[in-house]
Amino acid sequence: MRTALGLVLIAALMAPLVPLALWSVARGWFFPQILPATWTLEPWMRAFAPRSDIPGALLTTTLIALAAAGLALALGIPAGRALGLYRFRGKALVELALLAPVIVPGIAVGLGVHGVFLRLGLTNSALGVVLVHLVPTLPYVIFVMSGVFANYDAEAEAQARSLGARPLQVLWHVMLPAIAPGVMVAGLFAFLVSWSQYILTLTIGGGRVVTLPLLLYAQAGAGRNDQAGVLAMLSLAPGLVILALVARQLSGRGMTFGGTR
Amino acid sequence: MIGRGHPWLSLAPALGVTAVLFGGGLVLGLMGSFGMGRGGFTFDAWSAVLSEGRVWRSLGLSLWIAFASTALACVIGLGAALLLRRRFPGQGLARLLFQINLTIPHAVGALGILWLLSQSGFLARLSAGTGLIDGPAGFPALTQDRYAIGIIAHYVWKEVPFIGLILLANMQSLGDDPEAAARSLGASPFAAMRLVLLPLLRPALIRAGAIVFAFSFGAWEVPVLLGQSAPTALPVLAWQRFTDPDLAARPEAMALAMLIALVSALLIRAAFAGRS
Amino acid sequence: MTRLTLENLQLRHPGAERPALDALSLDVADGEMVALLGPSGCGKTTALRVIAGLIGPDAGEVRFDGASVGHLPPERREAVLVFQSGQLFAHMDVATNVGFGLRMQRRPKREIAARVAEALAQVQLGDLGHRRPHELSGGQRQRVALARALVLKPGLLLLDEPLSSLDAHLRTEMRALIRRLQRETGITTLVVTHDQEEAAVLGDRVALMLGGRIHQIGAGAALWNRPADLDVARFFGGCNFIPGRSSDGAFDGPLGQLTLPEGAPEGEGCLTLRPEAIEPGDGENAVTLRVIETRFEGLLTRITAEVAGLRLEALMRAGAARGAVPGQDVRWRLPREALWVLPGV
Repeated sequence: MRTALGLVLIAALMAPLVPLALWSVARGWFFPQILPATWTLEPWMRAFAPRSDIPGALLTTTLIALAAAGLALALGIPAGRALGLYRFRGKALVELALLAPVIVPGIAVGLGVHGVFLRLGLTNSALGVVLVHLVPTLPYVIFVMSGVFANYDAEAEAQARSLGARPLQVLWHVMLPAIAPGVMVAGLFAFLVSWSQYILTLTIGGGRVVTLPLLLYAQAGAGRNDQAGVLAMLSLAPGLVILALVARQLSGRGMTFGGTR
Repeated sequence: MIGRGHPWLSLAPALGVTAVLFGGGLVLGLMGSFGMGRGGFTFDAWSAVLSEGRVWRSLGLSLWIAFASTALACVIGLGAALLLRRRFPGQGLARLLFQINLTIPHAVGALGILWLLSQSGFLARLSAGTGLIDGPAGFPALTQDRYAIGIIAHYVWKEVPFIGLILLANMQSLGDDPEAAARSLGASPFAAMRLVLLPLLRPALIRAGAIVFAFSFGAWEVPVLLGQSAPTALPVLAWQRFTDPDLAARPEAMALAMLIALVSALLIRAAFAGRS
Repeated sequence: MTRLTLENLQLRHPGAERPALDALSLDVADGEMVALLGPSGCGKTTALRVIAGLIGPDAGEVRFDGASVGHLPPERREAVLVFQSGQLFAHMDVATNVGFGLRMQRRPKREIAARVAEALAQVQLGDLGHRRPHELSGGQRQRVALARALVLKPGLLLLDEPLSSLDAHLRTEMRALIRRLQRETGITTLVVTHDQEEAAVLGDRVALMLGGRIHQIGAGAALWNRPADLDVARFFGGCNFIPGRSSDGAFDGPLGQLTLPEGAPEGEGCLTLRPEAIEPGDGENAVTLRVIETRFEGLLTRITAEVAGLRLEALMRAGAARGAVPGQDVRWRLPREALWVLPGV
């Protein structure tokens, strides 16, 4: 019984990916053909041909995601440390303020930010997009890192100081190695969040900054389903890589939201 | 050094960026809805928006989508978590697919659902192949339909793994002892689950549900692809106004965006209840 | 009230090297309280879970009053397991917790209320019915857990380390409470513990479990003074083992001839003697030894001495130990009644 339900679940989970994958290796696949009439790698060849928009979008998306993740880490690690290790008045409020962007939809923020970015010349630019991507990525990093630091034994630092280590040495030799796995998880997921963004990129980028999700819809809308299929497959790639990298750290505990703390 | 103290230096950069980008974005949106970017303070945009039937229909549609998606995702997600917590052939694969699903961008998933459920999509072709229907029109309209079935299907598909993994993590840390204690006191397996396990899972389920509700209410990329053009979901309506060549529509777009923010604000309490 | 029989229970946890239960057999008489004693990891909690029906054994039988219960799920067995942590249901108040089992039996509300009140009074928590578990102290929580089980008047009560999460002073109180309740209700009880003192106080009989098997079961001081094998002896702190041969009431070994008590087994064996039984002085079974070390251990002083390549340890009170100086000789008496021979070791 469990097995039967399990199979249904597995089938349902894989189902929407099937047409996406099939279109990426098809030439002309129309109703009522269940499987493509012609199997071909042509869509992939065309996707990476000189005149294609796809390599550019791939590069843009990757660079923006790397930048956003990097910035989010730089800001979020110290904040996570503060929240994970300290008790102080107003902490609940600070936590709320820093994590609230998780709950508030991007469009509510993007439209307002647009005006200011326009005046600052940040619209239609990758830099502007990176900055606005901070809104959804930063809370994520803070959440993961505050969990990491809550489990962090700060006494190890005191021990190192007692053995003669200077603050920077303590940072490098004691804290960073201990939090490194958590940093990797936080950074990779921040990358994914930025990678998947749509409305914020569209609002601030003005359609000039073309990331994979934008190109995906554009190609699908223009009826170029095969290219859309390729784009879909490309969009899935980092997620799979990240999962493989992070699998060891998460080891079955899945997402940490929801409080085992 | 650690414990009590004021780590404001560590918090300042993150707080600053959040205040400027997030807080600033919201405040500017609010100001924009009062027409303040163009001189003056007026309720025009708000009164126009609140008296427009189309807006209320969009709001109603978005609420319907959010309620239906959240309810279904919670129920199915709970069922999936209960299913996946015991060993059976396929358990590992199912858990892996759950994790993979989490990494799939919503845009990709929405397109996949479109190509799966549309009248000329994969399921329709399977039906035609088995002789159940004659042509595309024979397949029910599951996308761009008035009940937003396609949209809801996408959110359920994407959020069941999210909720499922959270509940599985919680169940793992609770262990089997609570239900075992109940069973030793005479409770059937079902009674033990219902009376002991579920109450223990409730807080996490509520938090996850709030997040799912907020997202399915306020996301743009899913209804723009899978939804009808009228009535359309609230975020899509807001975007339409924002990109309207008539700049007078901008404040209305901001007002709609603020409506969306308001609904999510109401959910904040549920989303963060009982943390720390 | 139920008679419990365990017959040759066998269980290996998946991926474990050694079995958790290795041909485990035990008989607990109707109305008796047996303490199942053993170090952590010896399988005692696993045994309780098998009896409660939460895990199935790989082989062997569990019988209540002679009838096999292997096919019964936990909710249909007449046994209630009280977990080490108490496992109170956090979202229910104390009264609802205690009444849980009765609710599962679909008893009428009035009966439940009455019996819950009675059970809470029995554990002296009469007016705490409306509190929530997190508002209670550790000791109170344990008592609620007990009441929750007792209210069902089960045939068999299984207690998993009921005192280990409590502070020392609470433990004595709770021990007395458990003892009293068991005597009053006459419920057949199996208590699992790693604490020797606890086992001795609580159990009508003590069963020592090592490596998934029961090595010895007996009343009172039997396990201490008359261990069945070396493992049992060592578990209870026995440290004097003298190899040799027993015949005609005398033991021949490196210490010469020692007189044995009546009824000692004959043949090759190992003589054992508890350290606290050794007395300084002359007389029957007296030996001269060279003191190696003395160590103050609080109530008693431990003296290690050597003769003929054999080390003996004695535990004596301060006064008696004064004569022992490292490097010098002492004369010790090994009282006949304290000698015990482990045959064939």
